[in-house]
Amino acid sequence: MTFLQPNTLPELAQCLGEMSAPDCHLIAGCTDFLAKRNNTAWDARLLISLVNLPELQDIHLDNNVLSIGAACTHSQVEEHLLVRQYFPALAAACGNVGSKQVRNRGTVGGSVGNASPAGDIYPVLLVLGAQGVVLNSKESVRRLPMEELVSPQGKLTLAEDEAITAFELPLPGPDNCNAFVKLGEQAHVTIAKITLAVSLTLREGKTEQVRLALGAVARRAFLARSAAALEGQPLSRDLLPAFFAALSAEIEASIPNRPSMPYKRQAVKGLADDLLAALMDQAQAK
Amino acid sequence: MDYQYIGKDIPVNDSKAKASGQLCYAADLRLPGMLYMKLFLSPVAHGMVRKLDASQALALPGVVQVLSYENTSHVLYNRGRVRATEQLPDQETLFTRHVRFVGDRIAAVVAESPEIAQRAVQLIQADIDPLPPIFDPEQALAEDARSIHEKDGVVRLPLIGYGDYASAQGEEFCHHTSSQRVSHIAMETHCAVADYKPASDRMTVWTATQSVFGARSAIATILGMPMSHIRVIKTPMGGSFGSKQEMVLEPLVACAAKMTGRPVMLHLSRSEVMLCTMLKHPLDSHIKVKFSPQRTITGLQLDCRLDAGAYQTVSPDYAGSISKKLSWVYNIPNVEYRATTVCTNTPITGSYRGWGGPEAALIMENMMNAAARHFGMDPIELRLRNILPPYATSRINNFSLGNLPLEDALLLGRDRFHWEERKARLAGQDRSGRYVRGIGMALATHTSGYFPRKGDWGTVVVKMEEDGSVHVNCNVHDHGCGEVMVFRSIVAEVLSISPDLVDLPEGDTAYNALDNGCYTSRSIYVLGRAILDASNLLLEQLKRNAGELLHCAPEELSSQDGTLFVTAEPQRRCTYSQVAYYVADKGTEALFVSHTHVPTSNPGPAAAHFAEVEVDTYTGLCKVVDYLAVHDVGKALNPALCRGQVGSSVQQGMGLVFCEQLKLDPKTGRALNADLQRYHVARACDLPNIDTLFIEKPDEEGPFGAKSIGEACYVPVAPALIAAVNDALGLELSQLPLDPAHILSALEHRDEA
Amino acid sequence: MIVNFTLNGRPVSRDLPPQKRLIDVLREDFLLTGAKESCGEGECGACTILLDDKAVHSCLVLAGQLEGHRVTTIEGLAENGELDIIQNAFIEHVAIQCGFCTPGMIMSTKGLLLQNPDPTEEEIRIALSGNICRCSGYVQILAAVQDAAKQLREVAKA
Repeated sequence: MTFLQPNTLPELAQCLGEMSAPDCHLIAGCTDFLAKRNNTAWDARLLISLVNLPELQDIHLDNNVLSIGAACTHSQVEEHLLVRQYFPALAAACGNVGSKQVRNRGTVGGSVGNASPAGDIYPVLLVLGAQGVVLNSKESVRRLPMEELVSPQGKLTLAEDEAITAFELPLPGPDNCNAFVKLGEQAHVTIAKITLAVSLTLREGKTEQVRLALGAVARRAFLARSAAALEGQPLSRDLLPAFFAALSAEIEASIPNRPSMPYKRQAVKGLADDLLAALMDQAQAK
Repeated sequence: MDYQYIGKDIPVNDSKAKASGQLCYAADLRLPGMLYMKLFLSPVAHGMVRKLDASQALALPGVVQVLSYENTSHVLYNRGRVRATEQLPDQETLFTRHVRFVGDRIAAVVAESPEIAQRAVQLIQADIDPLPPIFDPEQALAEDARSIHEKDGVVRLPLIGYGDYASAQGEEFCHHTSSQRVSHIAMETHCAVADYKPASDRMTVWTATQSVFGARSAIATILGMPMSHIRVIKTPMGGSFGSKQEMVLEPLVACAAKMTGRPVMLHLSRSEVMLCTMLKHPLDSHIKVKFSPQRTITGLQLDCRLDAGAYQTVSPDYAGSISKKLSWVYNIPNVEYRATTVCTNTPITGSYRGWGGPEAALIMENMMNAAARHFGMDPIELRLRNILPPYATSRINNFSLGNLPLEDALLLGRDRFHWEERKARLAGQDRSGRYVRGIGMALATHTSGYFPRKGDWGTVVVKMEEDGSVHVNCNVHDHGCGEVMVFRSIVAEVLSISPDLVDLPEGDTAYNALDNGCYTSRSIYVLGRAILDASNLLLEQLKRNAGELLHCAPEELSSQDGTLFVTAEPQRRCTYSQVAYYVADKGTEALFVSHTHVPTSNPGPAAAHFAEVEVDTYTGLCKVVDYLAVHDVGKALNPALCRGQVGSSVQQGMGLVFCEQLKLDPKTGRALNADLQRYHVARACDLPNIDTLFIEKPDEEGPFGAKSIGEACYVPVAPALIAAVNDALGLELSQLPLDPAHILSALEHRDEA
Repeated sequence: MIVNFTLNGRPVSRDLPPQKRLIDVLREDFLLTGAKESCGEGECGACTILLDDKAVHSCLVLAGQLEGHRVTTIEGLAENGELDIIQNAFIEHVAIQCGFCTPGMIMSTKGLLLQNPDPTEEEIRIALSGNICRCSGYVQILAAVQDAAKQLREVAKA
C-alpha cells in the first residue's frame, strides 16, 4: 500500500496522477472511511491523505466569494465567524453532524465527496449556489455547481485524477435568509432521516428566490418543488399547512414504495415548522 | 444511627485507576506468546454446512489454528448453567454444522495478531445447504420448532399459580403488551483470555464474568477437565446488565488455548456482541384481570410467550421468573400463569437486567395504567386499593416479602412529584399544538436474593495482617456498579478502620469457596451480610486477644479507629496491629475468620417511578422532561452509587421504550443494525435530570438494613414512561418500541377515528 | 513509514503501518490502554483522545495522518503522578462506575473546557453526547464537569 500525504496543491496534483481505481482513496477525517471498514481487514493500493494540506483547511473571503477548503472540519466551519454571519444554514448543518468528536475530525469535503444520501452538507451548499473547486493531476482547476458535482444517483462525478479542493459560496445579499433543519431518530448524534435547507430573499416583507433542498429522501438531496409554497409570501407560521402539504406530496412522489415513506411524509411537518421558525428568527434579527 | 462509612458517597475503590486509564480490563491483558481468536459466524439463518474450506485461512502466515465443529468437542451444553445439576435444555455446542441463526458459530481462527485473525476469517468459505428458516414464533409454535431442534424447540412451562381464575368474581379487563429485541450495550465488549499449560494440564481463564464458578463448570464439562485444574479469575467489568452472566466466550477461548498450548484472547466487536452473545427477549403477553366493583383485583390470568432465539439457553427459567415477580406488588387472590419459550432462527435471547421482573412490571403496570384509564380512576388510587401490605407473604413459594413499603413509595412519590398539581396543569394544556405532555407512573418490587430457592449462600474469609490492615476473600463479581467499595465500607464500618486498609479481590475459583455468582441482585443482601457477620467475628476475635493483652474481659472493650480500649478507662488501649503481633507471637491461632451466611429471607425492595414526557406530535419524537424514582433500599449504603444505578435504569428504560431495537431482515433474518450507528441509545442530551428519593426503613436481615437496588430500579421505568406517553396522547400504546414512526402512525389512526 | 508526532508532550518517532488505527498504535505500540474500543466506528466515544487539543475518536485516525500532530491521551493528563482537576472531579463526584467510558468521557471534557471554560449545562450535554455511559444517567458526570470547569476557571484567575 502506498500512503501519500501532500502538503501543497502541486504535490496533491502530482499524487492525483497516481490514482487509478480500484482501491485508491482520497482520505481526510476518515469518519466515514474507517467506520465503513470497521471489523474488516481492509487493503488499499493507494491512500492520499488530505489532512496535512494547509490550503485545503483554509476559509477565506475573496471578491465576495467565501472559499471553504474541502479539508476543513465541521467544527472549523461551524465556528467560523463569516460562516455564522452569512451562512447560518451551513453553520447549523456543520453543528448537527454526528458527535463533537466527529465534527472535530470529519471534513466538509469528505461529507460531500462520500455523497451519502443523508449527508448534511450537500443540501446546504446546493441551496446556497455553491460551486465545487476541482483540481486534477495536471494542476488544472475547474468549477462545478453542486448539481453537477454529485449525480442524481448519488455518485460523485469526478474523474479518477480529480479532487475537490474547496467550495466557493457567493456572499448573499443583506436580505437573504438561509437555514438548515434536520430530523433524525434522536435529537443529537443521529443520521438524518430528512433534512431541509433553504435560502431565500426577503423583499418588502415577502419571500423571493426561494431555493429549497430536501435531503435524506432520494439518493441525493434535490432542489424541491415545494419551494413554491414559500414563494412570494410574508414569513409566518401561517405558511405551515401549505408548505407541509407540498413537502408531504413531494416526498410521497419521490419515494412512493420506500417503507420509510409514510413516516417521512408525516414527520416532515415538524421540520417544516422548525424551518419556518428558524427563518422567522433570522428575519426578525435583520 | 450515625455511621463512619455507611451511607456516605464514597467513590468506587478503583476510581483513580479508572480516571487515569490504568485499570486493566480483560482486553488490556497481554501474556507472552498470546494468540488472538476470531469467530467465523453463519451468514445464513438456517442451514447445514456441506463443506467448510479453511485452507486459505490456514495458509495465511501467522495463522496458528482453525477450530470448527470438525475438530472440537461436540458436547451439548447450556451456556446459562452454573451448576451441572441444573435442569436446563442442552442444545449448544462450541461450533456447529447445523447453523440456526445468522451469527451461529461455525469456526474460529487463532492467529498471532488480531489483524491476521480477522484477515483469515474473511478467507474461510462455507458451503451451506439452506434449510427453511422460522422467524415467527407463531410459526415455530405451530411446527413445534422441530426443524430447529430435535428436542425442546418449544418449552411449555407447567401452569404456575394458585387459586382458580375462573371462579374469581368481577369485571374482566384484558390487555396486551409486547416488546422487542434489545442489546445490553455494556460499554466493555466481551473479552476472555485463557492460558493452558500442557505439562501440568492447568487452565487459567481471565474473564469479566458474573460467575467464575459457572465458567469453570462449563469448561470442565466441555473439555473434560477436572474442576481443580481450572482457575477462572474475574477481571474488572465494564458493565454487564446480564450480558456477562452466561458462559459464551470462556469455553471457546479455553478450547483454543488447550488446542494451541498458548494463551489465547477472544475479544468480541460490538457487532459480534449484538449478534452472537444474547439479547433481551421479544415478549408477547396477553393478560386478563378481574376487578371487583371496588376495583380490587380478584384474579389474574396471563399468557406469555418469549422468543428464545436459536437456542433455549436460560429462557425457560427466565419465563418462570416472570410468574414469581407478578405477585409481589398487588394482592391477587387467584393467579394462573402460562408461559412458552420458543426457538426461532434468530439471535439468542437470555439474561437481561431484572430477569423477568421488568417483563412482569411491563405487563402488570401497563395493565394497571390502562385499567385506571378504563375505570376513570387515578392510577395511584387504583394501586392504593390493591397493593400488598408490609410483611405480606408471597403466594408463590410462601415467604415474607419484608417490610415492603409500597404505600410509602406511592404517597411519597405523589407528593414529591406534585402529581396532583401536574395533573391539573396538564389537564389545562392546549392539546392541538405541536407538543403535548403527559405524566405516568409505575410501581414495582424485585428480589434481594434467591431465597427461598436453595443454593443461595455467601462464604467469606476475613483475615487481619500484622499491621492491622484487612484482607477479605469473597466471591464477588462487581459489574462496575461499585459493590466492592460498599463491601470494603462494611468491613471498615465494623472494624472502624479506613476502607482503604481493606483489600477485597473479586471472584477467583482458586481462592473462593463455591458460589453461584452475582445474579438476581443478591450481592449486597447475601454477600454483604456474610461480610458483615465475618467482620464482626473478626472483631470478637480481636477483642478476645486484646482482653488478654489488656487484662480485661472482651465485653469491656470498645473499638475506634483501629484501636481497642477499655470503655471505662479509654487510656488502657492497644492498636489492632499490637493485637495482631500478640496473636502471631502467641502462635496458637490466626486472625482469620471463615464464615458462611445462609439467608433466611428475601425482601422485595419497593419502587415507584414517576415521569413527565413531552411528545412532538409532528415528528413522533418523545422527550422525558422530568423523572422521579422513589426507592425503598432499606438503607442506602452508598447513596451516590445507588443514584448511579437509578440513572442507568432510566437510560436503559428510555432505550427500551423509545429507541432501542435490534431489527432483523424479515426475509433473511440478518440483523439490520448490529452497530451503534444504527442502534440508538439514549445519550447525555436525551436524559432528564433525575430525582431519586430513598426510603430507608431497615430490613431485618440485610447489612445495616439494606435491600437490593441494581435491578429493582430498572423494573418500573418502561411502564412509567409508556403511561406518560399514553396520558399525553390519549392512547393505549403497549407494543414497544414507541419509536417516532409508531407514535405518528398511532396518532394518524387516533385522528381518523 | 516513519511517523513523527508528539505523544503526551513528548516527541516520538515510530515506524508504523500508515493504515494502522491510532487506537491500535496507542494500545499496541505504546502500551497506552486507557483509550478503550467499544464500537470501532466513532459512536461510543470510549476511545476519545485529543488531537491538537480537539477531542477525536482514536479509532478513526490513521497512523500515517499523525505526522507533525499532537496526541494527548488519558495517560497524559496527570502530572508527576498527580491527577488533574477533571480527573479528580470525576472521582469526587462519584461520576465513575464501571470506568470503561471514563477515559473517553474525561478527554471529551478536557476538549470542551479547553475551548469553552464556562459551558452551560446544555453545552456540556451536547459535548458529551458522543460519549456513551451505560452505568449512569449522566447526572454525576454533569456535576463533575461543572465542578471541574469552575475549579479550572478559578485556577486561571489566580
